[in-house]
Amino acid sequence: MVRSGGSSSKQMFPDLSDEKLVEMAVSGTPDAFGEIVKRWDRKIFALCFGMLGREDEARDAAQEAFIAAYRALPNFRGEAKVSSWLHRIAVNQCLTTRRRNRTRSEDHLDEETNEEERTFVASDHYSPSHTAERGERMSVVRQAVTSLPVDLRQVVVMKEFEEMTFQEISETLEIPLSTVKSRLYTALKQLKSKLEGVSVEVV
Amino acid sequence: MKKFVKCESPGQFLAYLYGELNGAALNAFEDHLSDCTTCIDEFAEIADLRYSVYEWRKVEFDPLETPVFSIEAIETPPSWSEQFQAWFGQHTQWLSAASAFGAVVIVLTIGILFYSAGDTADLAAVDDPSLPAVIVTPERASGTPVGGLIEDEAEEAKPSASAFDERRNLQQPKTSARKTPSRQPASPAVTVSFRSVPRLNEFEDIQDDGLRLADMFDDIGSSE
Ligand SMILES: [Zn+2]
Repeated sequence: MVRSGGSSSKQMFPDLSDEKLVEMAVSGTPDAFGEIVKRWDRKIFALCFGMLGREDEARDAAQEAFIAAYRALPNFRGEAKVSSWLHRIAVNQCLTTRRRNRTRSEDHLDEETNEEERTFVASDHYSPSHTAERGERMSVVRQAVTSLPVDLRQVVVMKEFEEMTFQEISETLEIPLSTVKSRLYTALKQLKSKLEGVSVEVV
Repeated sequence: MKKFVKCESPGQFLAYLYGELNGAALNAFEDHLSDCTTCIDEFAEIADLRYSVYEWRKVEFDPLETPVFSIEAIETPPSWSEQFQAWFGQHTQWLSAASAFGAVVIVLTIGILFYSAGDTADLAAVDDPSLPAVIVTPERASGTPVGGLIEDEAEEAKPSASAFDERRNLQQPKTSARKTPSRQPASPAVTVSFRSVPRLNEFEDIQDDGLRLADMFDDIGSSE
């Protein structure tokens, strides 16, 4: 399996690397960039969600990032990996969104507009072709989280389910803040090894 | 890539990911992130893993709404005496009418007494059981309701207002039922209603192991 993208819905160019696809997109091959988007939309969305904390904003930012990437195609030189290139574009897009949000809240502007935006709750942004992969990923995550050692799972539950801050978890469990974070980090890394198989196997 | 700047620690990534970086630390983190490919890729990976957990929680647990409990007091039908008291509570003008009627009876009785004044035989006749059983004292003739029946009714009519209020309170659920503990408690009807509980229909390939949030806590709780 050559490709490295995150998404594995039915592909038009299943055996091509991301870098080759970008090359083809630059030279004008139809659908080559669409294939890049398909492979990476989930991971770029997840990155944007991690930076913005809101699904609606993350969706907009991810979309903007792909548009920016498309425009920047001629500048892509094969030095960097496509993943890093896309990550950087997405991070900068999110930083712009964050700065804009900060300015807005400082100026107390557009409060009503914000309310309206908030009502736009993100539903599934996945096409039906993503469903099988997502289903399998859910299953793997469930299995991975439930099989974590108790001390790691405890932190995952407190963070993701009870939405406690690191400080609150530290105080509740009477362990140092750094230990809380390292436990969560370890838990996520353990999840990674279990999830790695998912996108490669399902095609 | 600014290799000369120390890269961010996993702890910083997590703090940023969960929105727990502020002030100078936040600015420094974003400055570095915007320009360090290593950190961007590392952050992207952590964000992706975290989103997988978030997504799993959202799909599998969020539809399991907390049941909404509502306790409604069943209103027992008021007894005849409550209805009677309530009626007098509502129709206070009835008291005025009764008082006026009593006053007329008293005046008539006094008139009869004066008419037959001096005649002890006539006075004795007052005790005749065939006459209305009304005992008259002049002090009581000053507007207060007189007569055994009227007095009883007036006493019953007095608390009727509060009884009515009490009944009105009882119609309000929960709190008012607690406020009137001496009253025979209305039997509560506990309704447990679940909002829609969609299961993972859309993922037919998922084996539902029956995992619930409680399962996540089971051995966590026992490990303490
Ligand atoms: Zn760095």
